Amino acid sequence: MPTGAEIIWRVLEQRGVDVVFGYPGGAILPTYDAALNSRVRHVLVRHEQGAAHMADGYARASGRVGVALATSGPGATNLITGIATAMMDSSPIVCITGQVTTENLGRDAFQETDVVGLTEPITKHNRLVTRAEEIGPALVHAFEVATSGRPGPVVIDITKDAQLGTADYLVPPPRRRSTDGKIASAAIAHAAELIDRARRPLILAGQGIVQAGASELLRELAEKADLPVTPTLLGLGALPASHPLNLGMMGMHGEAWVNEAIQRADLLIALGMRFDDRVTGKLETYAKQAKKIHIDIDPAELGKNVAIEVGIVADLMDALSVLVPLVGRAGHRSWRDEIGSLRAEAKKRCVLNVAPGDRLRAPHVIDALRRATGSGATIVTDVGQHQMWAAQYFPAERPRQHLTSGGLGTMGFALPAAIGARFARRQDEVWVIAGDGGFQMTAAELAVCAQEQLELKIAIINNGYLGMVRQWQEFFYGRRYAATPITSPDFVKLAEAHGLVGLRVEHPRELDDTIARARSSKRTVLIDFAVEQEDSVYPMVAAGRSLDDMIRRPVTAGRAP
Amino acid sequence: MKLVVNARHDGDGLMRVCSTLRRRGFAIEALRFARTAAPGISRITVELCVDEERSHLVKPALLKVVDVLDVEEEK
Repeated sequence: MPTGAEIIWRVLEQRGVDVVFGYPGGAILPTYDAALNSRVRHVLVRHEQGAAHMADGYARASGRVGVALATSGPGATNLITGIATAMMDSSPIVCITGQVTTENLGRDAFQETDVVGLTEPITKHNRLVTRAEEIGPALVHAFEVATSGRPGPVVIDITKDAQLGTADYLVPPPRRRSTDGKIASAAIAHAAELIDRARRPLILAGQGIVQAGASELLRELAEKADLPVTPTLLGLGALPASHPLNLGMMGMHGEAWVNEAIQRADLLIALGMRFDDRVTGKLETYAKQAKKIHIDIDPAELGKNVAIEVGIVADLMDALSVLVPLVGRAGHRSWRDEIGSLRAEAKKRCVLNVAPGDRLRAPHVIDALRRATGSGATIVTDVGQHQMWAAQYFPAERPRQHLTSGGLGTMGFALPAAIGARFARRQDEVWVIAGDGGFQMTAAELAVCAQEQLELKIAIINNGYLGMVRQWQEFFYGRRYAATPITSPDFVKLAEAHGLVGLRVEHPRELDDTIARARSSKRTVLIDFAVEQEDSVYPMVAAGRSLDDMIRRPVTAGRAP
Repeated sequence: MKLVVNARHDGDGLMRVCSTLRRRGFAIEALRFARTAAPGISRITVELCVDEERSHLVKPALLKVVDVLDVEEEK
């Protein structure tokens, strides 16, 4: 009979897992011992937070479950930030943690911690397993829960004696991902009627479209009824950025014409998004003239933040395949022209229109990366100013091209998540875009790039500040820069110390050649871009303010005041 | 509002239900927890203090708990 530890690897193999990210320790040692007999590849991280982010990045890039492995106590607690990140962004990961022996549970044993209690609020489901015969069913269930409905993280905490015990277990074949397919037909018909009657409609496109694989149906819907589309941060790529109906991102740092269009719209068609506060601004003033249709797979989201006319609980693939044939062909020329004139006015302020001179500015760096890599590269951004600039100046042309920590806003996400994405998309070019602050939070994972001999490209947008916080201090705290100036190690030497390639760009004229040099290498290359220190991200809707109160780009095109 | 929740209980079901309610800001005013005739299934009767305009959010939040089987509101 196999041991519990062997059953873990059998389930992973049967579920098509080709790589797990983890860190060994006492309570998970039986499972690591059994790993030597498994064909699943193990990637040794440098901190368990990295393991959770790598599993998350793998899941976001591939649509498959990412798996992280850690020991009890500090191993499990180090996973927490990564699990919470996956929870907020509905990313399907399974975390397996070792636990002290069953007889030691509740005795404050060495490296004992209440993993189920700690992770309950940040998981879709979690469970403590104390017997070998429970391991197989619990893990199989974990994979089902992680991927069904609205995806999310699952933690399975397994005592050491359960890993060492033996049991019979035949891994059942995976159930096809199924939705019940039942769509409230009256509600869909009502939605189609509202769309047909609307004069100023807008589609709000969220990550639910990407996760349902419904991008093509979104395009059909938009084109058939001539509906302008604006993505959320996580919805970037649901419709190609270059599609004429794609207006660009909404929200706190969304484009001015998009937020203005939302406030003028008479119908919002919200697809697989959740009206997050960074999207709506002050709720009392949000899209007052618009009726709202909300289609989402999670019933708890309907009516949570915004009152809706029509709510439909469904997978977007199911819902849109019924909705698209029902809506009539339409043209909204005058509405598109109105948005177009708002856009033309705003475009005049675009920072890319200003010759940079001798100043290296972050938007120019990000635009150069976009020009060089096009739609082929997967980009993984960290959190802060560079993240918003990347959303504005390097929006995605395809689903799963632009990965970022949206809901939790986790600094330190980018490098480990990109390592995970690298394993999911081995043929693709993968770029990290990170700030100097966030990068230092998980920079230890550079050692993984070296040990695994990965080809990863890393752009550090280095302004010597925790830039987004500095920007808030500039706008709202009288430029009192408390604790935001930050020094960094010499990133070029840091890369070299890891056996990687480090390059630096300090002048705009070096941009294109250095990016080309990095791209031609088969190794991990880090480029330290020394950019303007006090640039700010525009437009901006201050937290809790109305979308009507945008801080616009200065007409001097964003020149630092 | 008063709810009757049937949930699988292997030691964690009650914690999950209470934690979900606390997290979403629904204050528990009274709570009863009991075995049912079905093995492994417990019944949680809970009275909550919830604003009228947010009361529709309680049931979907509880139904997201994997161990919760059904939720009925008692008028």
